[in-house]
Amino acid sequence: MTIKQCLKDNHNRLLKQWFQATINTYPAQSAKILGKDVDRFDNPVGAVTRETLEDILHLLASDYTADTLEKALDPVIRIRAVQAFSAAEAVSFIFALKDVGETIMDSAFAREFDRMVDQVVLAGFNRLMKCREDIFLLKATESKRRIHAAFERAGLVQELKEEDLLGSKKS
Amino acid sequence: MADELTPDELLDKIDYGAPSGDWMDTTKSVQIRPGMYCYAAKAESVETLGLPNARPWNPIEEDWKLPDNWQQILHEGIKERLERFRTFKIFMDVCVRCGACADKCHFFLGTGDPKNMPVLRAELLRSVYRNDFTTAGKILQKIPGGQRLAGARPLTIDVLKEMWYYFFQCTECRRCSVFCPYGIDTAEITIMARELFNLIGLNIDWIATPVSNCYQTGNHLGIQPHAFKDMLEFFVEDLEDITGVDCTPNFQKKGADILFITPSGDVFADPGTYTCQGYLILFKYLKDKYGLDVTWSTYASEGGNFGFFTSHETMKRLNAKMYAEAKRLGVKWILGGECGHMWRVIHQYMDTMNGPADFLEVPVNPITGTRFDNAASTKMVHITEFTADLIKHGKLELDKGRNANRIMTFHDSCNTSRGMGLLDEPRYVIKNVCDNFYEMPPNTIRENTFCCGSGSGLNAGENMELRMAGALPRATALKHVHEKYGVNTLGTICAIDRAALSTLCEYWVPEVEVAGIHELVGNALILPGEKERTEDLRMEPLPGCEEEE
Amino acid sequence: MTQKYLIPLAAVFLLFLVAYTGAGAGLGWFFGIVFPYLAVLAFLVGFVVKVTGWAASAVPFRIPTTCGQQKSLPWIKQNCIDNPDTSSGVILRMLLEIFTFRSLFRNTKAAFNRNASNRITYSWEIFLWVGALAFHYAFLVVILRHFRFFTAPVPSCIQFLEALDGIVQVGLPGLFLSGVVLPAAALFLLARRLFDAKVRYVSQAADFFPLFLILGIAATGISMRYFTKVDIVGIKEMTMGLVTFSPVIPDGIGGLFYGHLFLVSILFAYFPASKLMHLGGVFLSPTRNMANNTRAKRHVNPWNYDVPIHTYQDYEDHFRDKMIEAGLPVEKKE
Repeated sequence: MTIKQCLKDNHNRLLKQWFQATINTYPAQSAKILGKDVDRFDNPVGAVTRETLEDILHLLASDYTADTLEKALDPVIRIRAVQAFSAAEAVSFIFALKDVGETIMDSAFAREFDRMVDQVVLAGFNRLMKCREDIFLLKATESKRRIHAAFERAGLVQELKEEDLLGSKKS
Repeated sequence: MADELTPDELLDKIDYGAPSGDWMDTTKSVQIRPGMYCYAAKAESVETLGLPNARPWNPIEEDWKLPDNWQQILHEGIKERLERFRTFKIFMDVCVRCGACADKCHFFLGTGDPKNMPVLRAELLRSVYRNDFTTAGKILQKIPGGQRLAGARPLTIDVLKEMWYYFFQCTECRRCSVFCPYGIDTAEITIMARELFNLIGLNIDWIATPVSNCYQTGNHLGIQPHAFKDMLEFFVEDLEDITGVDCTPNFQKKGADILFITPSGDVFADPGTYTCQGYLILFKYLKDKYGLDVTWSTYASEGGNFGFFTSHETMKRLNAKMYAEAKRLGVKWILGGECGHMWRVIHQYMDTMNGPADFLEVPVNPITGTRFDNAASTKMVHITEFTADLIKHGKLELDKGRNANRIMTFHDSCNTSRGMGLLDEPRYVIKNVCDNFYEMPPNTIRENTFCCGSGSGLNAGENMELRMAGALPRATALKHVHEKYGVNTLGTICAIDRAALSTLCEYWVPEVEVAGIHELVGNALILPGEKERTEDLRMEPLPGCEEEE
Repeated sequence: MTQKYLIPLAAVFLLFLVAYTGAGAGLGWFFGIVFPYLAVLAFLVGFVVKVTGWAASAVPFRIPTTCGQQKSLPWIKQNCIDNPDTSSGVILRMLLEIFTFRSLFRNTKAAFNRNASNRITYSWEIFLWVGALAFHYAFLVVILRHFRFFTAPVPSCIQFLEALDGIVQVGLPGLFLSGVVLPAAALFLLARRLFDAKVRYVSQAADFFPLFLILGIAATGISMRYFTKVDIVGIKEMTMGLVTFSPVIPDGIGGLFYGHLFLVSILFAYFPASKLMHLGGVFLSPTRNMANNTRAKRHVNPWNYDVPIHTYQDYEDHFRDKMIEAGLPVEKKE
């Protein structure tokens, strides 16, 4: 049996425990609500977290690259980047997968599995940085783009170099 | 930048830690966290209106520079408001803490912070009320541990800071009130709390400065009359390029039929500016075809009212301009543009505060003959009511094809849905100017609509994390229709939404644009004598004209 | 945290024991006559004071929470119940709120949805609505049934209600449905407070005390009816004495009854000072009991006062030159 097969076989148990560990990073009173499997529009954090973790497990069980991992992580990291988490806390949930794997996966795969999780963590840090950059850019440019852009079109302010501000986002 | 986090701050950013059983135990450890709070009101802005305790201060510093007797001021302030507002008194007394509201708040759902549950937000103030104003609280105070048993606590500086932090994490959207069996409205409690904060000078700058500008200059941004006119004239030039028709508006025209007031955001901030151009096209059309005379005013150039987020008195002081200007100009009635909280103020407060408007006539649409009996006393009509009526009577010539590239959904603004009930009028207009319309899921629209996360004066830049977290429930629903139906345009009838949702989309659903409803009307409306249009109001090629570029 | 429910629990036990032993020690006149009268008096006075206190506060603005389409153009269908513009609509809205807990029911909508993976989702929230309805209606039936102790002859409507309540015809004396539903619903509401993390977090001692009190009342009542078999004739003699203001203390009533009566008295006396006043508050809540017609009919604020405003004259004085230069009309051209 390969580690991929083992991941597939244990998909549901891994997902369930990893999801619980992730939701438990929230305060207990909130975790109760966020962990509920209800309509995704009534509980976006819970629903998006569950879906993302599921995607990651599927990816690990098939082919993945640093890029695909990062993309798959985006929804949950994007949420955690604006919540009351430190950078470490924001990605800590990925490390929880190691503990979960330890109890579920065949110990023969332990080392290989740890390495896989490490790759997920690195992808997570990358994505977190991007999301934080998005936030800071929004902070820096929101009013300029909305208000000064209109002024500029009207020729009321001309000295503002709007393109410079926007340019940094595209790169 | 002052609000960048240091590594130390990052490490000890909120540590929820082991949840203590009692929320009151965590009051002391509440940290006012960068990204979640708005900067303090500037002293000059507070002085403009002569509000108390104008001084420079900083929420994250230990000393808030409060007056020595701040506790007494607040105590008396609460007492006075209990007598003046039955809502406040009843909402302080009757909550049974059933928890029905807990997961209805977008800030709770987005941040996961349990103190953002509406019931708990209210309990922050209620605990002080129980301590100082109830019999049970006063009796229990006398026995050891009794205060805790009564769920009461004295108003200390830590309690004040905690309240300040969390009452500026509420957008007064009223969603919790829909689900409360007693109709307890957290918005009302937040309004009272902010009114109390203003007694000791604890406003935020994003509210205080627009209020000050609006009071003196006429609008939130402090745009002076000539600049206001310049801006509209610039739109007129653009419109002439696009349509070949001169849409020059009237300013302060005495004896016009209708005074038009819209939030200044429509004049000065994208993408509201396109909505503004839509208004100009509509008024030009009505003038040429039916002779209807609409005037703008630079004095009453702000429909929005950040006074509403300051105190009832400030709201009244800013709102007074609308009737005053209508009276001075001698118009028949007032037409209001697309805005959320502006309409809550007009619909539920204006006539009571600054009426009776007996110098105006009951609004009648002279083109269709429709009498707006629902506005018989306030004499102010919402522009989507007005436009829907025109469309229903076949008075507008519309080319839906010009919006064929728009796949629409509609975001109900909190104030117009839960403080007014304006739900089907904008939908009717959208469906008549655009063929592709898809609703977001039912538990996220109409009276269940989720806030944009930036309402009630919280659309500052420094609290971006808070805003984006609060926007998550709305974004999730939007993303769903984007993926399922290919929705690319989010329609809205609120100036704050137009700004805030644009930022929301940028972060959560970058493929979606935000547009006011009258931007679409402006695109579709066929002006008498117009040239063949090849561009929409954003100066992008119209559907079918892409090749000609 | 634990003290929030342990202290109320202990208090209810203690109160029961006080009455139980007190009555045995010859204080029956106090627990059977004096305290019930005082409690009812406290209830009536407290209730009236509280409600008139609320009523004394002004309603400066008409601010209903609108939960449906407003009345605007004649061809747009108004939601007359959730966004009423007439008093009949408001009355209907209030009746539905009071008798069916309509707002609480909104909570449950999600429970009937299917989630993304097309499973019917499961939610506790429907049980809050069911539990609350069961609790309140069972309580109402129990109270009405007790009127048999305060009326002679017992009115036929009370007898009919009793027959309906005992319709399952199990056991002897016959089992009352309300006697099962009330404690079950109360236990459910208690369990929610204890085990649902979010509700536990927001709960206060004042939320546990009435639940324990009601459970105590139910437990003593049930044990008197089904297990210890108290002297019904003696009790009715006493209760009739109370309502006819010629109180008597018959012999051989037993401490259990005094415990029951004392807990009921405590509930009455405690009622006006507690959250139980939601019974009165629900009628007065301005976000529910007002019509959404503020633009059509002027609402008057009794304390409306004049405020300083920035008039057009102030404005023009400030900007006159700029306005003239920009070609904006002005009142005074100098």
